[in-house]
Amino acid sequence: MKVCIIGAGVIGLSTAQSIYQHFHSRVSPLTIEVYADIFTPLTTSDGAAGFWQPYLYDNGNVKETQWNKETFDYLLSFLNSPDSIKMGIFLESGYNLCFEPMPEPSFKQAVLGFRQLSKRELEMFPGFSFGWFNTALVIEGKSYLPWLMDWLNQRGVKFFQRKIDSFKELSDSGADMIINCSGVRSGELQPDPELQPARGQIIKVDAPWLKHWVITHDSKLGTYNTPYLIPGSRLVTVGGVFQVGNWNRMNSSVEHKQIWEGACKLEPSLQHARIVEDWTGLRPARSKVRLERESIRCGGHSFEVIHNYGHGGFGLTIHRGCAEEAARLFGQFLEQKGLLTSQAKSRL
Amino acid sequence: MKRVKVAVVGAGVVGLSTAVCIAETLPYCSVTLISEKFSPHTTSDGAAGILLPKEFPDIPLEWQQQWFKKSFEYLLAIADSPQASDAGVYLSSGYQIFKDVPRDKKPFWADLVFGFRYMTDHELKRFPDHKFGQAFTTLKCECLSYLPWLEQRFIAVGGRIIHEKVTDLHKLALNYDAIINCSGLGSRALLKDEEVYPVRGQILKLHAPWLKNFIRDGDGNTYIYPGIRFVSVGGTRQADDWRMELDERDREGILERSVRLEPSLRAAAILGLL
Repeated sequence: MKVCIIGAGVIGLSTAQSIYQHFHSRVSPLTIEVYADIFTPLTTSDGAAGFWQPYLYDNGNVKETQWNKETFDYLLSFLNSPDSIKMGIFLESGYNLCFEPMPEPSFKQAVLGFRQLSKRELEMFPGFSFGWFNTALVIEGKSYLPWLMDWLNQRGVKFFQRKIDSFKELSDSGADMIINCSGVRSGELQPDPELQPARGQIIKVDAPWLKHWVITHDSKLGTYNTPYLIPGSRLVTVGGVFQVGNWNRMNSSVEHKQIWEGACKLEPSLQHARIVEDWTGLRPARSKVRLERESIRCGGHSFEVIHNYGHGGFGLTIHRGCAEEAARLFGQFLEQKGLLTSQAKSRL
Repeated sequence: MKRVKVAVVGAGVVGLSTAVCIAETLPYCSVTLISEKFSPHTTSDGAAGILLPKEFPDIPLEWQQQWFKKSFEYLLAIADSPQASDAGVYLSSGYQIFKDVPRDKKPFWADLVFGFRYMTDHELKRFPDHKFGQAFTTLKCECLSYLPWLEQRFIAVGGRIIHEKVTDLHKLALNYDAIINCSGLGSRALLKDEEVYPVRGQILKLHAPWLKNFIRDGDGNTYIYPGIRFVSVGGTRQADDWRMELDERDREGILERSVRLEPSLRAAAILGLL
């Protein structure tokens, strides 16, 4: 049984991990291969701040809320382990700020100590009249992805640096199952009008006295189009923008100025911070995550694909829940093929 | 014309802030700050600087509340300003955890910090030895930055600084109209006040920049305070102990207890010991 995964961002790597964990002892031989043209530290997952927080509302996508929570609980369970720092996981508290009262967010149950902000606290943020405080997690891609690759390497998962131009290419080379974790470029493998880049630009800053994340929300401008700052393990990520349809991977100096001014207004002490670098990334935005099986007919053959892409600005936030679901879908495929040993009933 | 000559003895946080306060608010005073030790060699410099009051049994509670409230609001204004990083003042959130439920679950300062609440069961799961906890956001004031920043303010309003150990207040009184004694532990010798005694504390400075929130054990013997450039991990509370040298056993005890509360500290390099 050969599984070929396209994409080595957090989605591709964690899906490989879940599949290995669930099936390596139940399917023999199980070959898992990861194909990508870009690996850590150059993936979208690497550039992201790594802050665990979904969008405020799931718009009915309750499965996504569930996958987000699953991921949070999973990451939290590693906090006390000796690997937590290698994985790039740590707790961080902070503020979600709004201009007007808003309904409680989808993630209020998942995070720790969720509460509304008091009037006194809001005085620290002029212009904002409402908000919440909670403790969440940061999971830094630049640490997490190497940790995942290491984990996979040790278990015999092979990596190939190669751009895959079609699913057929992998099917022809013997893949029994293809898992499409190609993120924002998935449209090149199979057109998907619902998938769009949501361009983000950030500034990384040396400001180690900042210990809280602060995310502002403006329902008129949309998610991540207003200032936010997220202290990381070394630098603070300052943002941002969320530009749907913009494929430009270059940093814009106009946006740099806009982002910087917005952030300094939010946090005056930033004025004295040393700017280290700028980065631009394309979030793989979609109306909802595409996580489903597809049988694709090509000529006389058909081959199996599981799609796992379209995680927008919450890939790190949702990755584990989606990886487990992808593994579950793979399990269904194995069962249909009669390849799963009967006594080991899927516990997914 | 500055008619009143004031001497402030001691340049720790108490002395320096007193000197600045008088110099800035009473323009008819000329203020001289006299001290043997200055930052970074004062006791204040070694402290983590977390704003977490202790209740003094012999001082009226309303006074303690007022003093803390004023200090908190004053420092909050600095934290909210562009000066925050120069002054070393910023917000810090975290937990105070207790192995046994304390009699006084809500201390006198609960409403003076931000967001004071009891920890949820979910939050307490990380601390299996502890049954109860408080979560809140307070301020941290790092004297390694704050004292030099105050010194600049003091000089800017004409304050004078003398590096000298004061051993005789009567002699000092010959040259000044008023003396404010902020000599801390030094008052024991200076005033022959036997009620002043040392409580020895030892800490480690660890490099653990991923730590953002503090953890303090309510018994006061273990605490982890993430700072600007390092994490202060402690501690000890040894009354009448004058030793300034490091104690190896204390260090091991501190590390062992703090790693139990925050396992990721195992990966932290030791930057310094105090």
